[in-house]
Amino acid sequence: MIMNFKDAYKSVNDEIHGDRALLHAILNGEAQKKKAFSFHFRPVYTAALAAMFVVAATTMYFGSGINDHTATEERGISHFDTTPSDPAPPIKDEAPIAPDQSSQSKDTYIEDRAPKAIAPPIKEPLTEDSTPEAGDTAIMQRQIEPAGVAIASGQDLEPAYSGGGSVQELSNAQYYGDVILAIALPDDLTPLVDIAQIASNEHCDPLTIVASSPSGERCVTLTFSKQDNLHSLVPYAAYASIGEVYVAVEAQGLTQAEIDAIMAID
Amino acid sequence: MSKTDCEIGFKREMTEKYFDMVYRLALARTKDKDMADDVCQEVFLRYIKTDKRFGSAEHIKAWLIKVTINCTKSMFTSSWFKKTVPLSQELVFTTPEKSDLFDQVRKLSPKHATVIHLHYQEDLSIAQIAKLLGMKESTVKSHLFRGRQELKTLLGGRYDYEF
Repeated sequence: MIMNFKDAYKSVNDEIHGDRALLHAILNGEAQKKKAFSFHFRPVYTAALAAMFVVAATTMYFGSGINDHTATEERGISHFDTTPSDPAPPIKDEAPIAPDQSSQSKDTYIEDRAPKAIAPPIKEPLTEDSTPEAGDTAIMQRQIEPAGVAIASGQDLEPAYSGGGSVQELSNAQYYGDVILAIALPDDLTPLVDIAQIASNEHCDPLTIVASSPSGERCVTLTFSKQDNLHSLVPYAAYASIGEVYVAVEAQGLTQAEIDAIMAID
Repeated sequence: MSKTDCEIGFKREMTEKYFDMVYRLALARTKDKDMADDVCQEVFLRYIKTDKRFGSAEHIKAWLIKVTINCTKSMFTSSWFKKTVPLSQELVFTTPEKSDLFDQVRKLSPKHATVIHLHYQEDLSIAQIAKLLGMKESTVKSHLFRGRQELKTLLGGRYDYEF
């Protein structure tokens, strides 16, 4: 039996009806435009930009939370790597400069023989874990935290240097200063530290001061601290305490009698 | 510009009249009930909001068909449509012949199904279909011919239809 496709197709479609509920919703103005993905562009991106700004601002202000030491380890670099394969470059600027006697006239040579502070030979920088040798005293000097203290030099206990008014604001420096004034150094030893030129820092504990003879052969390192374990932190030839301040002395080229004289604190 | 009660009433009347027509065309093209509902809703929301002046009911019908085709095209090109698979939704018909015919027409490509639907359901001429779809008449004829041939193959001689 041959059927007309048009009639058959229309009869099929006559049985297809749209959603009546949707029709009523459209007629009543209740239908909402539907979308597969719907989000509010402006609020979402405004919130995202605000969050990014906050993160950036806080990171810039407080840092990323990863300190340099950790970041260095993450890069596979040892922060304290002192292996011979990667030796530190020699420090030329701080090396002791001995007067070139051959190139000087007799008069200038005599003038240069006057007492003068010369840094002792410099070896590798010290760390807290390493044990310094006798010649390491100059390096210890570089670890000196700023201080504005007075130190006595010579038998008459005249202060070799006075820190000045601003120094008195530092509690440690003032405290140490009283002790340092009571210490007498041999005449030929002169403090190497121009303490006033070091930036102020109240947390100068331990405080280390180096005094040296003009030739650099005789050198003494004085370490002051309020920590009672100072003797385990630094090498010392003599150790004493004055009130709450502990003093350690490391000497090179000094006799035991001179060391005892230094530590003969009243 | 506020619409008068008369205009609103007329639009409601036209919406009721052409609601099934739009739904059937959308279903013929999308082959999915939910998508057809979405298209239907979109088309009539546009119709209600538009300020376009229509000369006659036939003009409205032609505009609705055009908008329906455009909405389904937009749906076809959306990434959401490309990444989804329509659920199998069975429509219930009164006879198995009708159900079989619907299933076979559903297998046609959207181009062929659209031309077949507009020609046989909406009684549009080839010229009218070409104008609505923005095609040449020869192209419409070609789609119509291929659609018929495809249907004959799909029906497989179970029913002898005269096109």
